[in-house]
Amino acid sequence: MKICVLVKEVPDAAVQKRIDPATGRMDRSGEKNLNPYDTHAIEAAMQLKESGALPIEEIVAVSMGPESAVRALHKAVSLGADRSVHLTDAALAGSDVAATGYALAQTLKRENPDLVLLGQQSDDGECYTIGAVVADHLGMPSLTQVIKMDVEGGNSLRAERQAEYGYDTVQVSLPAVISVGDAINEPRYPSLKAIMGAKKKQLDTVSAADVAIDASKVGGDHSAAQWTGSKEPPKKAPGRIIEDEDTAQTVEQIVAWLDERKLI
Amino acid sequence: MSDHSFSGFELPDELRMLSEALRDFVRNEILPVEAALDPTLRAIPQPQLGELQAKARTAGFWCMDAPVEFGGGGLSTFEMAVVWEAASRHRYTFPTPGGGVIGYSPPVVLYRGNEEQIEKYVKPVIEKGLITFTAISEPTGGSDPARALRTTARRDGDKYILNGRKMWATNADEADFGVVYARTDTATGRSGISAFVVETNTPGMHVSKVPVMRNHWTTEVEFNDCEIPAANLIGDEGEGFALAQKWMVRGRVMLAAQALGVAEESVRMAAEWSKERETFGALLATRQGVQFPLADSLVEIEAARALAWKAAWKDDQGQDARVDASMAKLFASEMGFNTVDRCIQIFGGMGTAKEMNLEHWFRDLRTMRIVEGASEIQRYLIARDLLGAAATGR
Ligand SMILES: Cc1cc2nc3c(=O)[nH]c(=O)nc-3n(C[C@H](O)[C@H](O)[C@H](O)COP(=O)(O)OP(=O)(O)OC[C@H]3O[C@@H](n4cnc5c(N)ncnc54)[C@H](O)[C@@H]3O)c2cc1C
Ligand SMILES: Cc1cc2nc3c(=O)[nH]c(=O)nc-3n(C[C@H](O)[C@H](O)[C@H](O)COP(=O)(O)OP(=O)(O)OC[C@H]3O[C@@H](n4cnc5c(N)ncnc54)[C@H](O)[C@@H]3O)c2cc1C
Repeated sequence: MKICVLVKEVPDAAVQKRIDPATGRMDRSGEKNLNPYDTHAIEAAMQLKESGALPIEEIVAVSMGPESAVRALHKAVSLGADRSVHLTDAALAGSDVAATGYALAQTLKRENPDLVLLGQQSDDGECYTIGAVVADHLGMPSLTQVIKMDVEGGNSLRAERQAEYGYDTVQVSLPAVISVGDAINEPRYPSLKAIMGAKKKQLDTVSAADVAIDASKVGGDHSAAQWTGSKEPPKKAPGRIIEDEDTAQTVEQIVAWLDERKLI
Repeated sequence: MSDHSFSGFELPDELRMLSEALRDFVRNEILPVEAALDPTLRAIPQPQLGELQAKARTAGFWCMDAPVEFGGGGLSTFEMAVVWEAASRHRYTFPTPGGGVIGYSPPVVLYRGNEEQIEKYVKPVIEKGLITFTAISEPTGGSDPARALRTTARRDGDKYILNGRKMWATNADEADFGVVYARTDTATGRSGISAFVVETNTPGMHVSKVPVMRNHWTTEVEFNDCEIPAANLIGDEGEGFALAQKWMVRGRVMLAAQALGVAEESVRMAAEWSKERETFGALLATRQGVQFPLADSLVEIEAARALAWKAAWKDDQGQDARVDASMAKLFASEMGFNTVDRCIQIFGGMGTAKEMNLEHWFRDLRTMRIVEGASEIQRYLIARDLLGAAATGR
C-alpha cells in the first residue's frame, strides 16, 4: 500500500505575515518552513506504517510550489517519507484553492495512492479546503479534522473527527483523503541520519504537462477566485494601565471597571 | 554573476534542518526540564536526564561528533560548528552542550587505539552513554604539560605502574574510565609522554572532588603504585600528544561554537527585556547605553562565527587550521564572556538571579577562558606562527 502526504511550504511561524499590496498575494519572501500541520500528517503516516496494521510499503511526500518548496520536501523526508514529488510550473503561480486542489489531484493520480493524508489547514492560507477539493477530483471519500485513526480490518480506518459539538467517529474504506488536526499525534524529531540522508532520497520534479494538468484550469488568470483588495484589521484601542501604587485602591479600580461592564 | 563570486555563506539545506532540529529539541525538551529544576543544582539530575537522553537517542542526536564506525553521528568539523551553536542554548550547556542529554563522546585520543581498545572502551561509551575523563594537567601546570608533567608510568612486565598527581580532571569522580597522560621516558619532554586507559576502580588510584566556580566541578586524581595492564597503552610509547593532535582543531572550534550559541541567546534575551523594561519613563531599548553594548555584541558574534566557520572549513578540507582554531577559541570565549556580562548588566538584578541562565553562563564562560588552552596560550600559538623561532627567543 502507498500513502501520499501533501505538504506545503509556508512562511515560518516567527515571520510576521503580510499581503503584498501590489499583487494581493502573501509576501512569501522571508524564512519558510514546512507547514506545521503537515508534520502531523507525516507522523500519522509513519505511525500507520510502523504499527504494521496495514502493509504500507511507501510514504510519498507531494508538494506544489516554487523551487524553494524542495526544502519542505527534504524536511518531509527527514521526518520519515521515503521519497517525494515536487510539482512546479510557472503556469501554476497564483492558483486559488480550487486550482491548487485540482493540480495536486492530477499529481496524485500518477501515484495511485491508497491513502492521502494532509494537514487540516495551512499556516498561511488557512482555507481548510484542499483535502475536500483533492478528494472530489480523485473520487475518494474525504474526512477532515481527524484527531485519531485506527485500522479496522484490512481496508478501512476508524477515525475520530474533531467537530464543533464534540467528536464524530467515522469508518471509512480506502482509498480516502484524510486531513488531520494537530491533536492527532506528537511529531517526532527528524533524525540525524534521515536529515543528512534527505538529499539522497528520490525526488521527482514534475511540470503541469507531466501530470496532464489542463493549463486553462490553473494559475492566477484562470482561478475562479480573484483578489480584489485587502485591508488591515482595525487597530485595537489601547488598554488602560492602572499603576499599582496602593493595592487596595488598585483592586477597587479593577472591580469598578469589571462591574461597569457587568463582568462580575 | 561571475564564476569567481564567493558562495560560502549559505548553509546546505540538511545542515540548516539539523541545526533547527537541535534548536527545537533544546527549546521544547531541555529548557522546560531545566526551568522546573532548583536553580542551585549544578546539573540535570536523574531521572530527568535519562528521560531526555532516551528522546535524544531516538532522534540520533547522540555523540554526533564521534565517527560513524564507532556508533557516533559522524559529523564533520563544520557540521559540528553549526550544530553545537544550536545545541548550546540552555542552562547546563558547559562543558558539553546538552549537559549529557545528547551524549558525551569518548576521549578523542582513543579513536587511535587498537581494535581491542575500540571494542572495549570506545564503542561502550557511545552505546551505553558512559562518562569518561582526560587527565593531562597537574599541580605543576596545565599550559605547558610537556615541561610540567611529572606523573610517571614505569613498565614492569605486562604492566605499567603509575605514580603522580593530576589536577582538574573533569568527570574522574563519575567516570568508568579515562585517559591519563604520563611520562614513560623521564629524560625527554613532549616525546616522553604516553597515553593510557585507566579504569577508575583500579587500586592505587584515588579521586577527590575539586569544587570550582562553574557548575561542573573537577577532581584531583592521585596515583600510588597504580598498576594497569600494558595493553592499556594507546598507540606507542611517547605518542601521547601526537595522537590527539588530529582532533585539536575540532575541539577548539566546538568550544567557539558553544560560546557563540550562548552569546546569541544572551543577546536575544537582553533585547527582549529592553523592549519591556521601562526606567525614567522610557523603555531601556531607547537608551544608547543599552543599544550600543547590544550592537557591539552582535558584531562580535558575527566575527566569532566567521572565525569558527573558517577554521572548521579548513579542517574539513584537510588544511592545517591550528592557528585558525586558536583564533576562534580565543575570540569566541572572550566574546562570549563579555557578551554575557553586558547582558547581565542590561537585566540589572534579574541578571544575577540563578533562575536566569545568564548567571550560569557567566561562570562557565569565565572558566572557558582558562580551559582547553587559556586565552594567553592561544595568543602565544598565534604569535609563534607569526614570529617563528624569534617568538621563543631563539
Ligand atoms: C486568488 C488567490 C491567489 C493565490 N495565489 C497564490 C500564489 O501565488 N502562491 C501561493 O503559494 N499560493 C497562492 N494562493 C494560495 C493557494 O493557492 C491556496 O490557497 C493554497 O495552496 C491552498 O490553500 P490553503 O493553503 O489555505 O489550504 P488548506 O486547505 O488550509 O491546507 C490544508 C492542507 O492542504 C495541503 N496543501 C495546501 N497547499 C498545498 C500545496 N501547494 N502543495 C501540497 N499540499 C498543499 C497541506 O497538507 C495543508 O496542510 C492563492 C489563493 C487565492 C485565493
Ligand atoms: C573547570 C576546569 C576543568 C578542567 N578540566 C580539565 C581536564 O578535564 N583535564 C585536564 O587535563 N585539565 C583540565 N583543566 C586544566 C586546564 O587545562 C588548566 O587549568 C589550564 O591548561 C591552565 O593551566 P594551569 O591552571 O596550570 O595554569 P598555568 O599553566 O600555571 O598558567 C597560569 C596562567 O598563566 C598564563 N600563562 C601561562 N603561560 C603563559 C605565557 N607564556 N605567557 C603569558 N601567560 C601565560 C595562563 O594562560 C594562565 O592564565 C581544567 C581546568 C578547569 C578550571
